[in-house]
Amino acid sequence: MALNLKRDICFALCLMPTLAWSDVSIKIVDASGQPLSTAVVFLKSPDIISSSRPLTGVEIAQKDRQFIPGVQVVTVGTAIEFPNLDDVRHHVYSFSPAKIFELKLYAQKPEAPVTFEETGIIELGCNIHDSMLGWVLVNDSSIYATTNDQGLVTFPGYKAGDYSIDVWHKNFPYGAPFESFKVQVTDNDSAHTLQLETQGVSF
Amino acid sequence: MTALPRWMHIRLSVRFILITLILLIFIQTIGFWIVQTAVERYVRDDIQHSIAVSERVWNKLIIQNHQQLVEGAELLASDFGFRSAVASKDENTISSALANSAQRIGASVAILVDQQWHLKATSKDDMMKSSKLVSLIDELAATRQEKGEEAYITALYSGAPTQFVVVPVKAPRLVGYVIMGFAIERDMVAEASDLSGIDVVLMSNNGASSVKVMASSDRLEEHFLQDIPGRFFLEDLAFDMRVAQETFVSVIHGQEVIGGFLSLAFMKSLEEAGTQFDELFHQYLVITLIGLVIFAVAVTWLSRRVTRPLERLTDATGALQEGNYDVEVSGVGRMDEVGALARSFDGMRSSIKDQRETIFKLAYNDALTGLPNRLSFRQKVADLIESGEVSSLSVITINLDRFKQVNDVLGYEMGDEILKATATRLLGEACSAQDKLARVSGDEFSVLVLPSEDTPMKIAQSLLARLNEPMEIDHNLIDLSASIGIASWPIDAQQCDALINASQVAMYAAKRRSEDIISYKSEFVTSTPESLSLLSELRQAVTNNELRVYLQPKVSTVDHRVIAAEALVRWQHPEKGLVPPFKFVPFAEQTGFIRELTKWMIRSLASQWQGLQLGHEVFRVSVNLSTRDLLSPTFPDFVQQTLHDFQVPTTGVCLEITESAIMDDPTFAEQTLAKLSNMGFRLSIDDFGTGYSSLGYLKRLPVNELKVDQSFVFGMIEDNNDRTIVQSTIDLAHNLGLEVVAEGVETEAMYLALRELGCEEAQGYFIGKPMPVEEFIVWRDQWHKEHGLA
Repeated sequence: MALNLKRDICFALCLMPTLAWSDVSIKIVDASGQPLSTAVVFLKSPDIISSSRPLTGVEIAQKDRQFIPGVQVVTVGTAIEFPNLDDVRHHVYSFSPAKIFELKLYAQKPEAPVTFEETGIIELGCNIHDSMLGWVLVNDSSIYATTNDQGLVTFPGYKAGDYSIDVWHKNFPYGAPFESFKVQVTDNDSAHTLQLETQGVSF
Repeated sequence: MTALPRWMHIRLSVRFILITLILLIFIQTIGFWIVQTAVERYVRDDIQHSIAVSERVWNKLIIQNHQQLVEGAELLASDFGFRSAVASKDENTISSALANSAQRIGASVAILVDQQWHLKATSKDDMMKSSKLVSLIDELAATRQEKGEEAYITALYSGAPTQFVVVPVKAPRLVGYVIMGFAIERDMVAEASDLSGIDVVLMSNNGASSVKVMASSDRLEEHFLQDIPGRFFLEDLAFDMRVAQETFVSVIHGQEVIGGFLSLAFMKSLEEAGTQFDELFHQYLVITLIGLVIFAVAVTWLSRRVTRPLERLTDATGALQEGNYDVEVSGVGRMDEVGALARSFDGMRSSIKDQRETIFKLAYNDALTGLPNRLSFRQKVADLIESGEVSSLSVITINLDRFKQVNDVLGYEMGDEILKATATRLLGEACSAQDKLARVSGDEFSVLVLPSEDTPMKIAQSLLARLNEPMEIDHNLIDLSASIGIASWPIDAQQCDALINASQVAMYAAKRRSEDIISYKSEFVTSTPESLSLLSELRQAVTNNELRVYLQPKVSTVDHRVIAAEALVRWQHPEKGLVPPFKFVPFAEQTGFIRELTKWMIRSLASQWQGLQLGHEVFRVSVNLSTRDLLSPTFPDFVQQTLHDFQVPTTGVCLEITESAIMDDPTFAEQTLAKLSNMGFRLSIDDFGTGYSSLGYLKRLPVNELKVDQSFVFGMIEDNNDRTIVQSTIDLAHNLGLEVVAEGVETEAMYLALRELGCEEAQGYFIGKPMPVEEFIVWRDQWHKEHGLA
């Protein structure tokens, strides 16, 4: 929630051209060139990575046989709690290489949180309820945003310089990694359009 | 009449039976055919139905297998352990899990691919390197893409038709697919066959050389192993297939599958399916045979009932044809058509019988007296003679004297009455049995006498006595007399006809001699044995000119001049010499040939007449006419024409007629004589005094002269009575204006006596015997010289 709020403030600040700090605007289009909404875009630079710390108090609850939130973005080393808010038991697992784990049939809260040590995309499922699907995006950068309907995302107040961008979208196939790009941010820079190569994203 | 086919000549009853039976067989055959057709159609429908069931069963089995496989595969795909193994990417683990799972659900193969259809693991290690497997997976992927996730996928795997299912593996999202193959085994084919009762054959062809056949029966498997037409794998077919002398209704589904071709055949033997109806046909056949037998018996009985009476009627007709009119006609009591036929036939029979009796009666009985007639009498005599029952028998023939005159004077009705009365008398007298008496002609009766009775003579005498008693009819008292002849068999004649004839001859003899009863003597018949040949010889005599005209002179007693001659016929027979007239003239009279003789005589005389003439006076020639001449209507014209041809005046010819000739039919004779007289002929009554001619007749007849019979002339010198008769006759003739000629003048005394009595002409041996014409002419000259008349 806090992040979303922050993103909204950032978004508002981006619209102010007279600021000393440059804004980094990225436009994500799919393989066919169509703007892609709801894609998660990470902004990475050595500074940003070095300043990123594991998050605390992060949890992915299960309520009404759904993971809440469906996509949890954390930095490396973050431990995540999996509270069960349903009155049925769940068997949460992941076969993603970045973090293979399973929380065997539990109610309320498992004994210990799960710590995600590696970057990567971890898909969550429930062995009891096949329809339950969730993702944990583990990145070494804590700066990220979600594209709007125009496929745009803006990171305000960053200096010009070289950045790398990691992109992920729900429609990425199973096992597909973040798609990474290099961008050179300049003053009064316009939006960088990045075209995804990963197949199967478009609808 | 056209020739009928041979079988048409077969008896009606047999034809009846044959046609009926043929008809029945025909109908039964049609019925049989219809039933058979219906049964075959039913059997075919049944087979088609069973095949449809079999197809459904097969599909059900396929679906079952599919679902079983899907369930198994899904179970495997969702197994957390399996998913763990997949996640672990440990190929051996995955392979063992696959093998384990495949074994658990009976799958023949299990494969794991990732979501890009890349082969990850198989249940069998050795499969991994197989390029066939990769292409199989590619095709499975393509088929699934094309037909959807639920599609039933069949492929040839290791040469075996195999059902494949593809199940996604999720962890939680799609990470790959588990592909499981289920080989279609022989037991599935057998199961489908068992459930539906249809033979099922599954054939596979991997496109190369390998052909595999799984059939529910060995012979079908053998059959298809030998040859499978290519189209079986390509099309849907429905047809009848011949397999080892059996007809199979077949439905074949050919299809291309992954890795080759499959063909599924559903077959059913018609013969086998029809087995249940064999009993029906058997029963039908038995019923038909029984029906045929019953029909044959019934029709035979019926036709017998119809044709038997017809045959009996035919027999009766045959009997009728042979003259048996008393034959019994059966079946007249029947109320049907045959009975009606029999009744009308019987009516016809009795009608014919009655008519025949009537005809018989008419033929054998005399209508007037009711006595048997001549025919009947003759038959009876003939039968008796032929039967040999009697050693001898006699026939008495009775002829009424002067019956013609009675008939003429008193009328025919009276004549009939007399005949009836005579019959009654004869019956009452001698013939106790009617069948011995017969009326054989107008006034002639015959009586049959058997040896057991009195002698024929005694019977004849008593008969005569009865007849001689005066008879009163219609208040007229009539005296009858009769001439009776008797002949006996075998003394007088050997044959029936000869016997009757002999009795008649005897009767005529009696009549001639004016005796009452005469028994037959052979002298009575002059030339009987030669009669037949005599007639033909006479005919020849005329044509061969063997007859001669002899003339006997007639002399006028006044001046001794020869003024006329009587022409007499003589026969110069080439072998027998001169035949005297009495040997053939009476016979000619009997047979009627006398007419020819008379004609010959007239022609002959006419041709010589001119040569006989002497100077001024006409020399007359007399010709004797017989009764038959007088009764011939054409005779007068013939004489006139003949004389005209030779230019002979009618006055130059005198026609002599005996009294008896006239008396046979006085009316007609009178007409003829009048005609001849009118023509100018001179007419003479010959043998006057011997007959019964009445003076009344004499007066009416247009005659010119009388010839006094020689019997009177003979006796006139010694017998005064005769002299008186001659005298009276001459006077009578003169009084009637007739001239008189005396015959049989043999002495001068006779000649002179006649001259004295006023007889105009004389004829006899004293003057001259009959002589040939040439001789006569010479003699005449001589005579005239002797008497100084030249």
